[in-house]
Amino acid sequence: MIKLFSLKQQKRDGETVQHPGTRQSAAQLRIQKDINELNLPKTCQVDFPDQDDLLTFKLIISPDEGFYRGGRFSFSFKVGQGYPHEPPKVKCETLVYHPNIDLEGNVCLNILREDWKPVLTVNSIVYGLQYLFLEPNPEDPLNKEAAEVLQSNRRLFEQNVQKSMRGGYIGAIYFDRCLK
Amino acid sequence: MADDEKREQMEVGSGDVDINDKKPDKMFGLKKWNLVAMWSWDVECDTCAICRVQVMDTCLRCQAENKQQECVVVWGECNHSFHNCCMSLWLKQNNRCPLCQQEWALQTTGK
Repeated sequence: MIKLFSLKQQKRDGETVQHPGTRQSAAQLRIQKDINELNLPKTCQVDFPDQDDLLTFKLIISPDEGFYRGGRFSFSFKVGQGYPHEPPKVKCETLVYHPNIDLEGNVCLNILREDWKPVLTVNSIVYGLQYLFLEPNPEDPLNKEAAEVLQSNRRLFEQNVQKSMRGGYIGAIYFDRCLK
Repeated sequence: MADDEKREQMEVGSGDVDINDKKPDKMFGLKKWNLVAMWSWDVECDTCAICRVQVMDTCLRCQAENKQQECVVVWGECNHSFHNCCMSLWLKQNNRCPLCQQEWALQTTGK
């Protein structure tokens, strides 16, 4: 019969061998698991500016359908020591004309705020953000102008999104080009 | 484990089992069998969904702080299990099971 406890002990020994030296915090250990189990859709990629710091990274979303098809949007993730009991801080670094993302890069996504639960992972956030680009939600907006246009005139909204991604003014705001 | 060597042996003579006397010779006689018992925890998942470590191991926080002893497991009425350390932090914000949203009611605590 399999010796379960000795197997477990071996596994534990194996794990500790992987991270010699400094002891990692709970947040670091958990984010390590999240990153190992990351299952990204083909439209997303993650980038670690510092390979030794898993708590700070970028997510690039390049939607392949919907209003934002062809664009390239960068999000910064900052994972605090309270993770997973507190959600990561996520900001959009690309200026984007979107009802749920304001011009400072704040993102309105329920699981980043009131609906965050510690059983969620980085993967859940990636899928949530990708969903925002497929289905911008004009209710509960952060960019009220964009939300009003989306609600009143879908065609105009589509044109505005295209114009902003090519680089141009929407009202008084200049959007940098973010097409791939 | 103690079950390791537990084997039941039984000899079954051909005459004992045969109720029907009309068949004089049996082609097969059962000479011995080995009992094998499998067990698992009566929970839907054996991994704490909060810290993603098996519930029978110590939680991430205790691993990081090297507190191996106090890390017990809590089972809810909903049959979801978590480390007590992980769950008590969550319950400060919300009294529902983070997996199934049912009102959290403690079923058992254990190690």
